[in-house]
Order: sequence, then structure tokens, then C-alpha cells
Amino acid sequence: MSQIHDLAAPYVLGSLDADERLAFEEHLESCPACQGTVAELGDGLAAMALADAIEPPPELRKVVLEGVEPAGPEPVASIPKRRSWLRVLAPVAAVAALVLATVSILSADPVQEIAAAPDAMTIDLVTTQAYPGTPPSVATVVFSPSLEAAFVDFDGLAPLDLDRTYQIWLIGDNDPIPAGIFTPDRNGVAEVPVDGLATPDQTLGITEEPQGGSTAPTGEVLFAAEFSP
Amino acid sequence: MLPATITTPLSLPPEQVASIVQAKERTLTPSPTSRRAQALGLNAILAKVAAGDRQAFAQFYDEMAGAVLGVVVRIVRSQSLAEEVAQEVFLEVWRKATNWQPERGAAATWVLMIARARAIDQVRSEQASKDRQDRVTPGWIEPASDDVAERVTVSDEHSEVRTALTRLSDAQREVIRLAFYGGKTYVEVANHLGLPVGTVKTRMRDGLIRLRQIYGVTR
Repeated sequence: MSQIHDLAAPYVLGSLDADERLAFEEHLESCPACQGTVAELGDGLAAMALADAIEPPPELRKVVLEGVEPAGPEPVASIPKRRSWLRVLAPVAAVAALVLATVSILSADPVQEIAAAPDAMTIDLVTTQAYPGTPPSVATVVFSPSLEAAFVDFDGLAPLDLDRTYQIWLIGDNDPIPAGIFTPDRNGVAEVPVDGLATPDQTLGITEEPQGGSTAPTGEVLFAAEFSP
Repeated sequence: MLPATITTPLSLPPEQVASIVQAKERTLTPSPTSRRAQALGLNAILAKVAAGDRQAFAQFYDEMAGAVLGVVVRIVRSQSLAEEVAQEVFLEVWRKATNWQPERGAAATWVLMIARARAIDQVRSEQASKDRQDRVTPGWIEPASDDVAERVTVSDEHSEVRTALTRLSDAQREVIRLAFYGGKTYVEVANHLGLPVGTVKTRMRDGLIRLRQIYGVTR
């Protein structure tokens, strides 16, 4: 009779018969050494499968993800997230009015003024998985807590169709507030002041929206950063 | 840099809190990471799937769909059939994520075992229905385990150049192919090759360690 420990490799390959598999799994619960071996050999199997991966067709993703929609009457889950934001537009409008007032106080070139502020800090924007293609070579936000102002700085940002625009959002303890729209130049360069008061407790997000911008985000967050130092 | 916790004034209505949480979570979506980070993160993602998190499920799919499809295609040998089986595999992941036990193997290994099992089921049911048609008296049908192995052996001779197994010694490659893609138990592999079972188990172990060295991560 062989040592039960020797069964780790056939176990990982799914190569034990039913009785042996149950016996080995029972043994596994109380044997840290075998758990380690199984994890190690499993890494080998996973590495092989990842190396031999085949690009799945996009339709498969759609079918699989739609296949796990809840059965029965739960239509809320498929309604875009925008709906919940629309319910609370009133405070957003109030802040937007404040935003307009603030912007007019800033000097003619807010970017220069923010960059020159003694407490200006450069924060990297996180590029999310929703961003198509290679992340930009530069994706930062420059923030001055004393001015409560910020601008975003991009190089190598993907161009958009003519009917689309990038839109900046400020996300605090309320719903995302629209904070400016922009499109990069042909080199993907964009240097855009953030509309509104930027404060350390906020998150900045950037989405892709229809030309003219939206009142609440309809696209996925492509870039994000916290203002906190 | 990004917050781990979200603080919200208690006076906010629940649907507003939910939308903030959603917005924050979306900003926390990680950028593409190294294979090592993926391997380590996949267990955490599957734990979220077990809790019914659809976003985590989409992430899990994105990480593993290619590997699952690769395994299934090598067993069923048809791209369209493989896509159907892969779909079943991920539905099973969604339904049975709560059954996953980390001490029995990492999330990646777990989904690959499901992929292998469903693909082998597919080949056997195909073979069984063929047998049914061929038989004069219908009745119970012995699973044609050899056929799976034979088909895979044949197919691999044609696609040899493209598989990770080609990096192994002939001896290691043969046992892993027959066991994993061929659906044989290690005893069947030993009988098939006329080798002692101990030798087969050793070659399996050495082959898996080698694959991990070539392609995998170090702990």
C-alpha cells in the first residue's frame, strides 16, 4: 500500500478514482504538508493552462455573464446605475451653481495658478480595467489643497469618436458631481482644470460620455484618484 | 492611495449610500496586474463570487476564460463545442463557488478541474450516444474512458508545437496528458503505459513541478 502523500500529484490532475479521492480529501483536511504540496502542484497545472490559454470570443463573455442574471422578478439589477443618481439631482444642481461661482474667481489660467501653488501635489491617476488599450504615458492630477483646485494632465490618452467626450467627476459623500468635459489633442495630450472645489476627502473619477457631457456618469470609471495627501 | 473604508454620514438615504459605494468600488477596480498578482488575487475574487458578487464573477471570468477554453478545446477538439462547455463551466462556478475549499486547491486549480470534468463528460456522452446507435440492444453503457485518451493523444500529435507540455520530458508529458486531458486514473495510466504506479505518480509530480518552474509563480 502506497503512502497517501504520494496521491497529491494524481489528485491535482483529477486522476484518482472516487474512493481514493474522498480518502485523500479527508486526509488533506488534517495534513498541512499535503495542502502545501497540492497548492504547489496546482500552481504547475494552472501555469500550464494559462500558458495554453485560447482567446475566448467576446460573445462567450456576454452569454456567460447574462446567464447568471437572477431568475425571477428582480429587474432592478439590470437597470443602469444612473437611475439611483438621478433621484438626487437637486443637491447636485445646487453644488453646480456654486461651482460656476468658484470658477469665475480663479485667474485666467487656472492650470498655471494651481501648478504654481506652494502646496501643489501631483497624484497619479489609477487607470482602471475599463480603459481600452494601453494606459496613457502620463495620467496625473495636480491638486492644491489651499486653492481647493486641481487640474488633470494626460499624455497618450486614447482619442474618442466625435460624438463622445471625457468627463471629470468629483465623488465625495454625495453623488458624483460633473466637473468638466474635455477631449485630448491628436497626441493624446490634455491639461484640464477641474471645475468646482476639490477637497482632500474627494475622489476624482473620469468617464467617457456622449458629447456635451452627462448629469450623472453613464460610462465606466476609466481613471480615478484620491485627493488626500 | 485609495481608501480601504468608506465613511458616510448616517443621515443619507440607503439608495444614495449604495450609489456612493458603487462609485467608490468602481474607482477601486485595479489596473492590469502581473501574473503573480493575478494568481494571488484569484482566491479573493472567487471568495467574493461565493458571496454572490456579479462584478467579481465578471473579473473571475476575465482571468480564467482563456485557460478554461484552452483545456476544454484540447479535450473536446471542437471550438464551438468547447465554447458551449466553457459556458456550462462558468455557470457551475457561479452556482458552486460556495463549495470551493481553499485547502483542497487554489481557485485557478478548482475551475480547471471543473473544466476538465465537464469536457470529459461531453466526450463520453457523445461517445455513449454513438454507441447507443450502434448497439442492437440498448442498455447501460460502459463509459468509454479509453476513447478520451486516444482522441487527445491523436489531437496532441498535431498541435504538439503549441502546448506547454512540449517543454517537459517525453516521460512526464505522456503521463500528464493521459491523466489530465485523457481522463484516466493514475492506475489506468500505469496499465496503459506498462509502468509501475509509483513511477507514474513520480513522473506526474516532477512534471507539475517543472511546469510551475517554467511558467508559474514562486511562493
